[in-house]
Amino acid sequence: MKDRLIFQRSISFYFSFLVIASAVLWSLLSFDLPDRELNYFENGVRFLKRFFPPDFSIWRTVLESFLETLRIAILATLLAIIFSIPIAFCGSRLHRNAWLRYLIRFSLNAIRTIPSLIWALLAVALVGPHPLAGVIALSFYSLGYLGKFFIDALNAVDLNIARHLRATGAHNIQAFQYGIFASVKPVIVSHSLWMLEYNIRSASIIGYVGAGGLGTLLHQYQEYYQWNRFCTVLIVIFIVVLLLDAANEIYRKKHLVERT
Amino acid sequence: MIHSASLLKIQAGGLKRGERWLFRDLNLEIPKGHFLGVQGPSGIGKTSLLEIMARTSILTEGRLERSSSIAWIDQHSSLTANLSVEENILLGGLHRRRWFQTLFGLSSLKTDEISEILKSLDLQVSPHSKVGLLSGGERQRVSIARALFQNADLLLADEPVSMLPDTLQTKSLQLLKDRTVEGTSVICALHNEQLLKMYADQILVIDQSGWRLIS
Repeated sequence: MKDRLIFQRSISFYFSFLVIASAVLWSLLSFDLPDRELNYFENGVRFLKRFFPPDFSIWRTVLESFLETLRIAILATLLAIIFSIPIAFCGSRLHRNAWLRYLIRFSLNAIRTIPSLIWALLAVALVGPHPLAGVIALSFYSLGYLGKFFIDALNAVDLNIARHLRATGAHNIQAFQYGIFASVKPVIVSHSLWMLEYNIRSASIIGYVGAGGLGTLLHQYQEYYQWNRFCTVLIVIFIVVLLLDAANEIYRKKHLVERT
Repeated sequence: MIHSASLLKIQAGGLKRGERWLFRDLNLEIPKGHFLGVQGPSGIGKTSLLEIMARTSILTEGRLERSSSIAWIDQHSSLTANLSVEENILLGGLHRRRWFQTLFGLSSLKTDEISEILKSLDLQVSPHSKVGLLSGGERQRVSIARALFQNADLLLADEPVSMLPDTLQTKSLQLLKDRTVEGTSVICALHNEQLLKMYADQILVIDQSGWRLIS
C-alpha cells in the first residue's frame, strides 16, 4: 500500500515536471531573435543612461499633471466602490437568485477581460480627450476587479453571526451591518486602497490615448525623446505607489483580524 | 395559546434528519425562572433543538410557541472578529435600539455594566481588544458576557463552557443560574452530566430511545 502511494507520487511528480518543462520550451519559441548581431546589454545601458540625471526643473508641470491623475484615480475608485458593493451583494451567495449571481459574475469577468487602455480608448471615443474619459475608463475597469473581490469577501463571511443577531432580535439592517459588513469592511477598505494605487498607475498610462493625467506628459516626453524628464515622472509615480502600499499595509495590520 | 407564565412551549415536536427521527412527540413548557438542562450523546439533536428554539431552524412536525426575547450562546461563538470585545457585547443590545440609531456606531453609556460582567467572568482583557485576537476560552466568555448583557427573558446556551477550565465552568454556570432568580429562564445543553445536575431544575435527556424529563 505504502509502496503504491510512493509510486503514484513519483509518477505525479515526473508528469508535472514534464508538463512544466514542455510549457517552458514551447514558450521559448516566441523568442525569434533578429539575425543581425546586436549588443542588447550595451543598447540597454545606453538607453537607460538617457534617463539620468532626472530633470526636476519641470516639477511644477509634473505636480499639476500628478494632481490631475490623482483626481482621476480617486473619482474612478470612489465610483467603482459605490457601485461594486450592491453589485457584489447581488452576486454573492447572500442573494438567493442564482441567475442574477451568474449574470453578475459573467459581466464582471467580461469587464475584467478588457484592459484599462482599451476602456480608455472607448471612453475617449465617447467624451473626447478629457480627464473625464479617464474617470469613465478606470471606473469600469475597477468595477470588474472590486466587484469580484467583494463577492469573494462576502462569500467567505460566516453567516452564523448575522443569523445569531437576527435570532436575538436585531433588525435585518443591523444584522447585515454588524454580522456581515463589519466582517468584510477591512477587506473592502484594503482592496479599495489597492485599487486606488492601481488606478494611479493606470491613470498614468491611459493618458497615452488622451485620457488626461501624467500619461499625457509621459507621451509628450517620449515623443520628444526627453528621457530625463520621462524619468522624473516615473520617480513621482514610484514614490506615490510606495506611499499607498505602506498606507495599505498599516491599515491591514491595524484593522484586519483574521478569525483564528 | 401559550400560558402567560410560560416563555416557550413545544407541542408534539419532532425533528427528522434524513430518514432518521432525532426526537418525536416532544412536549415541553418552560416557565419563568426555570433552568432546563439538555443532555444526550453527540449528534442526537441538542444543538438542533436549541436552533429551533432560537427560530433559526424549524420542527419537522409539531409546533413551537415563544413569546419571549432570547439571548443565545451558540457553539459557533458567533462573534464578529473585527469588532472589539465591548462592541461585540453591545451587539447583544441591538434589539433595544432602532436600526437607524446604530447606523453610525455602537456608542454606549453602559461601559460600567460591561466591565462588571467581564470582571465576573474573570476576563482580563481590554474591552477594546479585537475579538479575533482572543483565545477560544476568552471568546467563549465574551459570548457569555453578551448573553448576560442582553437581559433577555430566555437564555439559550449550547455547550457554553466547553472551552473553560473547571473553576470557570462552575462560575459561569452559576452566573447563568443567578439570572433565573430575576425571572430569566435558561436552557442549557451540556455534555457534563455532573455539572448539569448541580444547576438544572430539570434535565431533558434525548437519546436513541426517545426523550424524557428528569427533575
